[in-house]
Amino acid sequence: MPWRRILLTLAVILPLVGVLAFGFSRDPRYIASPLIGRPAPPFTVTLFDGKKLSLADLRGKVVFLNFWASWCPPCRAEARDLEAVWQRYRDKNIVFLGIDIQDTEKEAFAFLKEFQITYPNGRDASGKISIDYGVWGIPETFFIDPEGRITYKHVGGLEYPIIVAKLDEARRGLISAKEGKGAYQSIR
Amino acid sequence: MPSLVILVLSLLVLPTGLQAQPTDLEEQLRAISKELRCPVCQNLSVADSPSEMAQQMRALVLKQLKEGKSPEQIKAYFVSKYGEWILLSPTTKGFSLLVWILPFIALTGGIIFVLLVARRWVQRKGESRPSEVDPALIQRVQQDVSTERVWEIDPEIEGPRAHLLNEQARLYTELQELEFDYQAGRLSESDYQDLRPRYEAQAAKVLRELDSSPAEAMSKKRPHRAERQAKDAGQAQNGKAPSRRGWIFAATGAFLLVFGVTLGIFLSKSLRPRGSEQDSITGDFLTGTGPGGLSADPGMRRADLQSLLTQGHAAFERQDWSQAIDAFKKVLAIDSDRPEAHTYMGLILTQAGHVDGALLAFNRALSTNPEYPLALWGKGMVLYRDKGDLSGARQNLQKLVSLLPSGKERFEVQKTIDELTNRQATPAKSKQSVTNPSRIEGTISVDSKLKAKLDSGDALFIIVRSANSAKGPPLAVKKIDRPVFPLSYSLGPENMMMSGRPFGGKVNVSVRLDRDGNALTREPGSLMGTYEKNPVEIGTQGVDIILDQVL
Amino acid sequence: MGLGEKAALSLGFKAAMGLGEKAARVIALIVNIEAAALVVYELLYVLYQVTYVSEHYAIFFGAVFTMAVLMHIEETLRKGPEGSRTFFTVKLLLLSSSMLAALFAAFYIRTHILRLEEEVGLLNQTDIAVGLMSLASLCIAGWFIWGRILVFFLILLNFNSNPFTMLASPPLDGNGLNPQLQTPLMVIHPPLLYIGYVGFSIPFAFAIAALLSGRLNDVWIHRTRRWTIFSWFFLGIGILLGAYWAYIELGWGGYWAWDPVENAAFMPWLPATAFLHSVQVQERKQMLKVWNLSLIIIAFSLTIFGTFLTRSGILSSIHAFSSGPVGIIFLAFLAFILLTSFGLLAWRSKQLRGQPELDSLVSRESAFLLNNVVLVSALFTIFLGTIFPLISEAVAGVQVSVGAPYFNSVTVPLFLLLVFLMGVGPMIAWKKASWDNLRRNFLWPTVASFVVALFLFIWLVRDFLPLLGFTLLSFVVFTILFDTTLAVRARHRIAGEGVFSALVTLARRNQRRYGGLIVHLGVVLIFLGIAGSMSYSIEREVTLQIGEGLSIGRYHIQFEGLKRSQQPTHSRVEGAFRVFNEGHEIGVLSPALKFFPNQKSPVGRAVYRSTFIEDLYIILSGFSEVEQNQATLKVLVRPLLAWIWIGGFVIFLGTIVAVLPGRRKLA
Repeated sequence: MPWRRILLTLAVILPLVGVLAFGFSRDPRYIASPLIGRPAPPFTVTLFDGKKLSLADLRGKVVFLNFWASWCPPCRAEARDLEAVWQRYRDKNIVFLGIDIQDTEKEAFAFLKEFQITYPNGRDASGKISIDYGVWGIPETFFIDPEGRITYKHVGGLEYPIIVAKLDEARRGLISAKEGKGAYQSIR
Repeated sequence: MPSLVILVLSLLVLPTGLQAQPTDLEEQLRAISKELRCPVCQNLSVADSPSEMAQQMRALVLKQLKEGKSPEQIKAYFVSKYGEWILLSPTTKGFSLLVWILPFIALTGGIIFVLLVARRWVQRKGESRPSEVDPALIQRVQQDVSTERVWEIDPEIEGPRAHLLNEQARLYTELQELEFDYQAGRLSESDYQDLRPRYEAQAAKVLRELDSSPAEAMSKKRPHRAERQAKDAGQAQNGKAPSRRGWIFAATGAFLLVFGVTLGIFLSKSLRPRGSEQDSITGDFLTGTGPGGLSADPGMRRADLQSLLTQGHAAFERQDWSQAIDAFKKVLAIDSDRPEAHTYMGLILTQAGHVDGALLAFNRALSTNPEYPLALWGKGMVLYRDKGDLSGARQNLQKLVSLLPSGKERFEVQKTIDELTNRQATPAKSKQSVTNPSRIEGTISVDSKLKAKLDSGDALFIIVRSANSAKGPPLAVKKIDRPVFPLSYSLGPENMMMSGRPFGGKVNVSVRLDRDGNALTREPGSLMGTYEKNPVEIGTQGVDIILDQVL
Repeated sequence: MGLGEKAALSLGFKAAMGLGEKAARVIALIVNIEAAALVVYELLYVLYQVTYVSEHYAIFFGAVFTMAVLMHIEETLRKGPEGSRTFFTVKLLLLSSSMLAALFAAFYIRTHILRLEEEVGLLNQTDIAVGLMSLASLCIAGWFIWGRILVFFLILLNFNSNPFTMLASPPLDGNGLNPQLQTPLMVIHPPLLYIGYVGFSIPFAFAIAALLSGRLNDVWIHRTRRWTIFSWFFLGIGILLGAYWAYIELGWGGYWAWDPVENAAFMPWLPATAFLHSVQVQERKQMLKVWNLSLIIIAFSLTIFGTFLTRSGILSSIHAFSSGPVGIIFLAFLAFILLTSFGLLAWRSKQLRGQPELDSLVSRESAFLLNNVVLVSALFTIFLGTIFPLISEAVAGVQVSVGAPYFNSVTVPLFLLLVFLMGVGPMIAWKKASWDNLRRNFLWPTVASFVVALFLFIWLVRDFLPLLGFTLLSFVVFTILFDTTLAVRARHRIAGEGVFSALVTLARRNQRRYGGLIVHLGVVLIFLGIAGSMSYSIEREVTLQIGEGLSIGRYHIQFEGLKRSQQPTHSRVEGAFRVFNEGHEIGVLSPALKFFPNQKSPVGRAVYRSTFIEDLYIILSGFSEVEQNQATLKVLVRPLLAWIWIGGFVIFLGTIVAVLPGRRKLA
């Protein structure tokens, strides 16, 4: 038995199969963000009510930054929870900010009206803000601590308890090691 | 090589060289976006992707270029947002360096390895010296080679001398090639003089060995089919062979025929629709799996039939189409001719608008039982409503009337026949009603994901609003209680909210499936749908709407 | 009884050995019939089951597409997590493959029965029995294993990803087939590719049979070579047609994107090409046996790997879909194939060791060895690049992408080297090439190609890589021309034949050589097209108002307006663009955007104008919705691109010359 050859064969094939098997553990479309723990990219957005809002003005507050679009089903799914948390925590030094992307103003309005959303929302017409935040699948949510650092990123729909927990972590400046993931819709 | 000539000519006529004209900025934009991976696509570069995201990214690249940023800075910007993932060619730093250098290590390593090994083989060759051989044999070799005969290596031959025969053929071929190369001027005199004796010596050695092995072994060469045929044709040395071959062909043909027939019977016996995804098509005939893979006990099959039919029927009444289809499929799996199942399939297909499929199903049902009432009814109605084949419809329905006992059902059928006869009498009028210019017609269906949300108490509103004024009451509304989807509708002036206004022009059509049947309130959970190609002109047909939104 | 027989026994070969040759043959026959029956059965099943729905769709798409439609409906109804908008689905492939497998099986049964006839005819000649028995056992092993592989695919077909489950619920609102697949090309391309893919299982089965039985003589080479040419050819043509489809249908102006699944289709072609070269060395010198067997095993494993990539969806690709248990099954199968076949190879390596000898380092043998090194390096590169995202994430934890820019820059030098060897290999002498031989064969081609290079440098091409590429390509052409000229002249001298009859005689006397040379010419043309279209493409994307125009290369394009029209299946917006070539009008080209009711985003229909010099390719990428007086268009000018398709045709011709029967008649 030519053991040396057989071992050599195994030494090549097994790692190869291992690497391929590793492929099953990941979502090939998922793009890990390098932004977590980094300062949140600054931006100014025109809100739907016409006012302008700058991220820099929100320094000292916890910012819940949510990218959405009216055509995205998971965004619809999470909309009520978002509004509910906002209603509950709006006075606790927390700001919710929705950024509507790849959408028409009319449809965005309809969305806001449908879910009776009261927190500030603006439209990113050029896509600059979403690219700045490395957005690729919505809803995508960033939690920004009072120092202006991104503490957590979640791709996909959020639910009440997670939002509350992550808002609390952001308030304390705790940076999550991992991104969160739920049902998302790839943007266009 | 005409292609080459064309090429050269084509290159000649090219003017001013192959230089690109686009502006510098455009070039840079392309170069950069070719290097960036579109985050929302499946492996396209930002340059090639038509997606909105890629368009925005291109715009951003252009903007940054105009701001005077260098390509490296722009790429670094994107890397800081999306990670190294965004670069279509990995960096030459860190672990990714491997992917750049390994190919060249493999190439150079391979070349060096091959050269070393080849050198060892060359050295080994140098050690062995050709021995002296008989000049008579050499002469024989030269004689054999000088003919035009092609010496073929036939690896199919077997036997103790096969190796030698092939070796001989190989050496002869090489000698012929050598001779030809020399003639063609590819080989110099000295090379030729050097190589030829070496091959000849080898060939002579093979010849000697061939001669020393018993001559009768020649017959062990398994003749090739073609050669054998040639032999038969030329010499007819074996009188028995042709008749035997004929016998073999006949046997083969018979075997193929039997095989085909058996296969046919076998297949048709074991054909069976799959009951579920896990089910096997190799049904009980082959593997003993039960019907639809659901029941392992073949004895239960017939008994199941009735309960399956009942199930299917119940599901049909509930308008749970997929359940009903499932049940009837299983019935058909057990008894592929069951008229009830075919008929219900037909009815479901009619609902779905698959008219031809439905007709096919009804026909299948009727082929087993030509007097099956429901199938007659279904076929008649399909012919009448969807196909406009009035006489065909009439024929079927009249047959049905003759079968039915007098009662409400028979009365209904008779009524339909009368209606049909009327229409037949006045075809022009009926035709006009089909293409009424002041109507909107189409079908409404429910998005398959939302089917679970249907409620039997729902009422459907078809709402037509003028495209010019979004506010105010709608132009026309039609309410349908307890709708059955898919549903075809027709909306005309009679449905207008306010008479007096003209029913015409561009309108937006939408539908709402309302929970409580009150058009003025909008309950959460109601289903909505709007026509994709709003606004439409009144008079349009085929305004098909899908209920696909949830309030 | 040798070790090989023992292994054969353990593999269920008892019947073959215990019951004698006849029984073994019957078993092999049954295995094949079983496989064939299953396939035919599936087909009949489809025909039988589909009747309900197919008619509706047949009206819509025409009968040809119905099969593909069914796959799609099924996908739609199941609504996998990734949705169902896939390009050619493996389901489509599986269906076409099952049809092809049926053809294969039928073919096999035919050959088998004929062989039976042949052997029956010889059986009463008792003295031949011994020799035949060994041959037969080899054949049986080959068929047996081939049958198993087929059955494995059929099992997958039946139990895991059955393409025929559609009738569980009829498509009340099916989406129809992806419009881009509604082209006749899609009816040809996947089957061809799949003949190539499935075809590799045959050489593989022969190789494994040879390894198992220990009969490692020339027989398997002969058979394997024939089947490899077969699969190699279909795979190659399938790939080219796929590229052509991408070019004319996908509307991005390219034909090859180095997508993982494209790579997966291309990869088996490389070891197969290497094998077709190195097997000649084995035929002549009885060496490189282990190497050739490895190439066959690698080629087959790569086909499994390709299927695995598509099915598992572990890499992001336009062709891939969501993962499922099938991926894991394929991976297990891949691991099994690799481990057992290379294990067998290692185990048999002692018997396979020949007495390799070479006359000289400068010889055709060495050229072939180098050719193999380059081809395998190219394979390694593409493979590494394809799975590197996985390796990087597994080992270094960094997400990276490996895309077209990487592959283009790394493979170009390799392919240039290959082109060079393509010029040298066929002309250098076997065994030993002296300086004199080299001078005789290569002096004039070299001079000629240098003249071409100089000419190109002065007039057209100033960049290094394209210049080198074109020079090497012309070198290959000149060597082939020169060599053929010499041979024709010699025929003329020897037999007094004219040019044409000399060519015919030459080709018939040595079909493989001249067929091979023609294939080389085809490859040169393909490389020419690739080099031209890669290096000197121009591309512009501009938004135009009606009446405005843009200039690109020698062309001027005038925007004349948009037209919206309603087609039976879709609505369409067409742009009218009047195109001028250096002031001469060549006509109006109208690229369109098609809006299908079932598709969210529009499908582009690009238009192109192809000449031997360059292709003009226009894509309508957008228009102003409201006034319809503005259009965004993307225009590409891609030089020499048409030569790729011409090259494919030349390869086709070359392969025919190489495999046509006819030589025997001459004898």
